[in-house]
Amino acid sequence: METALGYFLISWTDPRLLVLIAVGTFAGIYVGAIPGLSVTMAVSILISFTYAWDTNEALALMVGIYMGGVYGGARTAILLNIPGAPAAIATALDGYPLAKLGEAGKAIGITTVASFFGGFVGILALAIGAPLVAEIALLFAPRDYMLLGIMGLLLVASLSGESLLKGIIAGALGILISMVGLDTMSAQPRLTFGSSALLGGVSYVAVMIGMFGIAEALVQLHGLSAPVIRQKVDRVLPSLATVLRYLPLSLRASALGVWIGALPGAGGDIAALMAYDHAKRSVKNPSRPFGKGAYEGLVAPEAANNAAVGGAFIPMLTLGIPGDAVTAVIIAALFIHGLRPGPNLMVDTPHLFWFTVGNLTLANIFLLIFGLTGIRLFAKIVEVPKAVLLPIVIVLSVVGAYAINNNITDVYWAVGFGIFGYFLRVYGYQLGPVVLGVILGPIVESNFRRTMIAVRESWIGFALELVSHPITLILLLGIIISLLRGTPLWPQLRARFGLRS
Amino acid sequence: MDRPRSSHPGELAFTVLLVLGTLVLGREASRIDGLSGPSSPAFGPLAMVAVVLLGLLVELARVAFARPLERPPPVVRLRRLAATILPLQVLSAIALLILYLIGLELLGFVGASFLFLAIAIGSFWRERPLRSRVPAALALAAGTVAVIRLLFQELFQVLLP
Repeated sequence: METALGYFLISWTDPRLLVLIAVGTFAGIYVGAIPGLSVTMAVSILISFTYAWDTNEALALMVGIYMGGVYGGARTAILLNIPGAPAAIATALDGYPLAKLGEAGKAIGITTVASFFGGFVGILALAIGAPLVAEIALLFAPRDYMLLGIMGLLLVASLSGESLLKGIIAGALGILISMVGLDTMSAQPRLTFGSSALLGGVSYVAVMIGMFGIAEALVQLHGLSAPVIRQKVDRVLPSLATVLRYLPLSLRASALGVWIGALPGAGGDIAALMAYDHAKRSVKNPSRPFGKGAYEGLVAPEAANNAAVGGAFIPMLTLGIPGDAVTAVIIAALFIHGLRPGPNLMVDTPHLFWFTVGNLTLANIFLLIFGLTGIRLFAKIVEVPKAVLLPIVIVLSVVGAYAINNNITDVYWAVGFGIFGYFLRVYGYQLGPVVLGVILGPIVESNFRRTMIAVRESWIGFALELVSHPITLILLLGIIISLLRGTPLWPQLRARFGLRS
Repeated sequence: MDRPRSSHPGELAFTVLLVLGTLVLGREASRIDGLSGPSSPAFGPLAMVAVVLLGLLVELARVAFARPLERPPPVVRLRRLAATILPLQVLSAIALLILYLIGLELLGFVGASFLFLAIAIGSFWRERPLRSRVPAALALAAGTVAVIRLLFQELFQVLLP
């Protein structure tokens, strides 16, 4: 216990790490708030810049950006009716009407406190839940890892896009990209078209930077002419009575956020929407009708999306399966620093787990401090036009792609995937499943092959493996449900079993 | 039966291109030695190609089915494509990006990035009048390149292209 506390306090007692978390949280708030910039974009680009850094320092900065970024999206949702991040879509529904009523300051204050509560509940769940999950995960066989990877991909595919089929295509494309290069088991070249340049495979950081940085910047060019709306912001600090009034809802929404965040592939955006829906159903007497400036409509999604941060770290650290797009990028960062997320991470490098919990707690405290101050500076920064920001994002993406291997080929890959990703996006294919496919592809494939070798290449043996172990069976059911959710059969099944829609 | 979702302009051509690209990948996957069983190196790529191809063929059928019987003239379709899929600013950004890559090889990072930023900011920042936009774009480009060079070379200690 004492050792865990020591690891937890590493960043609290090291001034350099403390500053990095503060800077990360501060930058994250602005990155999350500025429409056109996203946390995933920032962390993707940052991976390559922090490549040469000490692991602790790189992680401290990334965790700060993640925590701040999830919260930051709410500010522009309230002030401009433009959610700075997908996790803030639900916040705009009541936040912007509040700003129009002249209550932007109070709305930002309550949002900040709700985010702080949510973040804290998420961190608590991570601290308590992850060691338990890791213990169970030690019992996992290769078939379970394969199924977990598939489930993560299917969840992202079914929850993030306009069609499950397009999500599956995108995920499979990602897995195909991950297969380029020398096969890790037999050292045979695969999908290299005879080119020696492809033997080393496609850098997943280049794919991430292309998809989340360049493609996103190109998509954002569509809305260049959107006018800037200015709102008056008054007192931000909420009263204690206000905080206490919304505390029960914050806690309920946070619990929901942790649960959704911990599901592989489902992140803060889905958690926020589900929490908003929960608030609408459960709050009988809201401060105003929902959609017209109800504070409950701000509290629930904001508590949930920040709680989902801690939740998303649970599958990432214990199973090596990303909880959302940002944790997928953080997994890539851990790989780069020579660490392998999964149950053994908790055994081999326990300091990393408690260090991350300590970082998240610090970032959450900084979020509260920065969230309740500096609103005037914030108003100035979010008014920077996209026409200036987006070309800078593209240049940073190019620098980031080059920095990972000091190789111009990675820049070509990033730009190529950026342009390809742009067309995928505009035709309704989500990029999250592609990137998750690149990360999860090797996990799914290698564990599938191990399972097949164990059953002597027999499909019947494979099928029996899937149904004769309780953990495997649960995961298999999860996959079947994820698949069914995207089909017209799902509403019929729900109706048949008397479930509410 | 449910009414099919409408298709985006140019979606049919894009889906056909994806199918063709997947077929090329499938041909390459079939060349991997030793498809002896499910754990062989060729199985994974071939299986994934099959998943992508099957999915794309279903999409292709959906897009073809969703197209209206009476199609507007090509000029109207081209305008729709330009408005929703490939507006001028995106098209010019992609062209600039390709030129930027060429410039990186010819001029190095500082020169190419300065030109890319100056031209991109200058052409996208339409709200400002041309007279003030040009010097602002030049100043912003110079400032950004200087900050990136200082920050990333000194603080992050990374090499620039």
